[in-house]
Amino acid sequence: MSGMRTLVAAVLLLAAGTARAGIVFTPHVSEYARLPAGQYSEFTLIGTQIESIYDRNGDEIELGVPFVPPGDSTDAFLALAKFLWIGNLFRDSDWGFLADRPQFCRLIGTVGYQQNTGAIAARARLFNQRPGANGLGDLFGLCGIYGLEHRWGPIKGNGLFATTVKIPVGRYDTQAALNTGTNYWSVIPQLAFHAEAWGRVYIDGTLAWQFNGDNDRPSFGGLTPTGIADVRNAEINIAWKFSEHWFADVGYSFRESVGPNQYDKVTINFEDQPLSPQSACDNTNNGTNMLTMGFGPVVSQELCDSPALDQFFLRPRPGPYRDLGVEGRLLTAGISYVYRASTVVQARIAQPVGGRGSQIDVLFDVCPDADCTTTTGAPLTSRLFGVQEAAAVSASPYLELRLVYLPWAP
Amino acid sequence: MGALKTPLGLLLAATLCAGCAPREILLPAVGLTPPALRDFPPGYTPPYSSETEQPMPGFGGSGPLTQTPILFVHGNTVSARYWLPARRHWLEQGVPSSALWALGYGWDNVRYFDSADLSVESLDRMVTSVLEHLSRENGRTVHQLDLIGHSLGVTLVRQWLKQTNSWHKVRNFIGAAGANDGVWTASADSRGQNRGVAFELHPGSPWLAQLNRGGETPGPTRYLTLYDGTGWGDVLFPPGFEDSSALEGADNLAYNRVHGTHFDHLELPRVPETLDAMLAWLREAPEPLPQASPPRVLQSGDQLRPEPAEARLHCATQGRWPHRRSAALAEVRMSPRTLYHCYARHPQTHLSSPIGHFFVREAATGAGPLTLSASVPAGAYEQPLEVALSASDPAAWIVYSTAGRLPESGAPLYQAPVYIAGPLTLVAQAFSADGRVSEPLSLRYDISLELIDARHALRRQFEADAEPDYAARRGKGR
Repeated sequence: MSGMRTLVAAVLLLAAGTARAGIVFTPHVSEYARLPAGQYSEFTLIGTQIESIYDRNGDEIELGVPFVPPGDSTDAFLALAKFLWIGNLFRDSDWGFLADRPQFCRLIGTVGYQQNTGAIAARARLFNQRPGANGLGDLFGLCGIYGLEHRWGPIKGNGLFATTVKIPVGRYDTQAALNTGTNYWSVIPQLAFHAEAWGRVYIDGTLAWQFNGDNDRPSFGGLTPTGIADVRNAEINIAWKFSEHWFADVGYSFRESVGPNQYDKVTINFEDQPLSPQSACDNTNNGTNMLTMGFGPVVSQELCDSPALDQFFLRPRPGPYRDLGVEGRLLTAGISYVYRASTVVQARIAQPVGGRGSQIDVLFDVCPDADCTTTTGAPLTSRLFGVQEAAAVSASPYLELRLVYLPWAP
Repeated sequence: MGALKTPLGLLLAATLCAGCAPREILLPAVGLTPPALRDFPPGYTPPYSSETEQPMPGFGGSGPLTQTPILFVHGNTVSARYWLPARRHWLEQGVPSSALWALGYGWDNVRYFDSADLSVESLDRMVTSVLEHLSRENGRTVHQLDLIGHSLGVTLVRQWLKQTNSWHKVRNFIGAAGANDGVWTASADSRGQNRGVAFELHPGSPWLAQLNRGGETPGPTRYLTLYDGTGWGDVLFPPGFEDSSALEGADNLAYNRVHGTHFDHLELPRVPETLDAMLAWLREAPEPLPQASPPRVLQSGDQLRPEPAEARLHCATQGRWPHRRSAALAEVRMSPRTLYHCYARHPQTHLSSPIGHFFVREAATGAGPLTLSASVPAGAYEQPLEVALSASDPAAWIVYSTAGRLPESGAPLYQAPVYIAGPLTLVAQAFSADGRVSEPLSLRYDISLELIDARHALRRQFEADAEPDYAARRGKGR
């Protein structure tokens, strides 16, 4: 029975342990302000040690526990290089609406380092999965237009509309538990605003809707969704200006999927098969432990007693499965220093305060032969975590270091 | 979403390319002329910008000129378009279209900042072209205009007034949110292509000290400064710099501080509230008589007197500038060996003469010719320079101009080393009480990090064995 237990534990463990949650932050100070026309460069380094994630009930669980001792994690570092252009292509033209509203475009390139540690990485290999992935990430391009600036006494503000396109050019390995690319397109229209009050309080907020394409090549044995739910999110950030050099800010971010993610190419399986019947039959008398580990109906007693079955195979049913959707809420707090006219240095921490991760109940057939031409009875059910950015929701804090540099400023 | 890849990818790539390329490059590449604000009356040809070498964009009006024309001078990285709200509002307030003018002298983007020194020539062309056009259109000489500057436009106007001795052409000057005592965003050790304006406007800048030397509100011009004053409305003037825009001797209006408003740097001179206040202030000044000519200052021995006699003299000595608050005198008797700076103003016509330098002429001493030398030879330099001028006769006076023209009689009196913050030509001339005048000394300085780097790179390439003589200061800034 130890083999079966190993299998179940490994499946669950891998599902939990490889959760690469999407990195989400609140807007930066003046992110949506009508900045002077020009070019801006920005470099961001995000680091996190994901030690816990949210399950589908919104409970925070430690990564891998109880199948491996606590302490292991997914370590992720993401570096972003951003280039922003602000100008007005229609300035002085007869197109009045556009002539008064500057436009902007931003290109964001990413590179990531993501590795599972310790026992989690070791467990990944039981499923013939690579425990980490480093390399180029997806490319993001966005363009938008600022609204007019309005003033109400001490408050002034402007809106903007932008659309981001995520181009899935990042490294994507279908056998990796973690990927720096996502392998699906996204189109993200957003409305945002920036407001300043009394020259000291800066507020930036946005509402966005992320339309996601499909992923026809899921990774990690099909535990990345193939039909990715759209996501809507709302973010706000409030900054206080202490002086021309120092800002402090707090923010709140909420995002949730619109409907469920769909999985229809689940293939996650134990690499070393067949399994010994011992692993499946030890706890069949009461099944308590098996249920705890996630399986529903267990291998029948007759099967265990059958001398004809000296080995068995597990085979997951590919789906389709649907989760309950994902959700994430986090708070951020940061501090910024403005150096000269050209440089902003920022440090910020994001602390998740609630969420819901993707989990699906995957059916595993138990078969006496490798081709699974017959099964031994009712399939086993294992509650598996969806992985990677569309499915997993980290419950661990992130640290962000950011440098904005204006190449033209003296 | 599979179909998304091709069209959206292409659209995104095209949009990004379009967005990142300057339209001045992009549109001509496809056979189109970049649009520009060119709302000028028939018969007016805008001058070329000395910075961009392109015709200046902007606006002006036609029709009878019933008041002193107003010329708006924009700030850094924007253009004449900045003043369109002001134009609209003042047209509604009854200001004739023919009196409202603005021209864009700079680059209109942050790829290349503008600079006060580099724009003096452009401003001179602007003023000249507008006055000439209006004179031609109205059949009389229009001698004066009102200038309204914003931000960099304030120090630009003040530098133009000083370097070209043009105070008599400006009836009123409103300086909104100008960095008359520096701005916190500028640093003395800036590097990069846009550092020129930082050299000019950093707190404690020798350039500003030079600009403010001898009095901050010279000449017959009326001055109004308009600025935030709270330290929070205008991000360029935070606490510690709240009153940087104020000028000694001007009507200083810290608008936000006085009125409890919160207008920011760009709003300050172009919202209805401040525009109404500015217009009221402009209208306090009497209009010059249309057909009148400016008075003159006549010297007879040690005596100065105005012509016509009804005019009055305003004088100061030894590098202090005369101004409106100086005593109005019917005549001035000069002391020997003292340099007088005077202008005449007529109280009825409200016109003035240029400022001139005057002294009591002494008998020739038979001394040799007067020569003039500079402490720093012409050439390219990485950092700003302080150029000391000295005449062969220590008692001689030296006048100079950084406007690239021969110093006229009212050019600034040399009192301290001249601070050269950008690529420009320093022209100086010495004169002595016994009537000797030196040959003009003309020195072209190019404060150009790029040029220095290029020369150094060439030398490394072609003279690999040469000892490096590059002692540029790279310790600070970028």
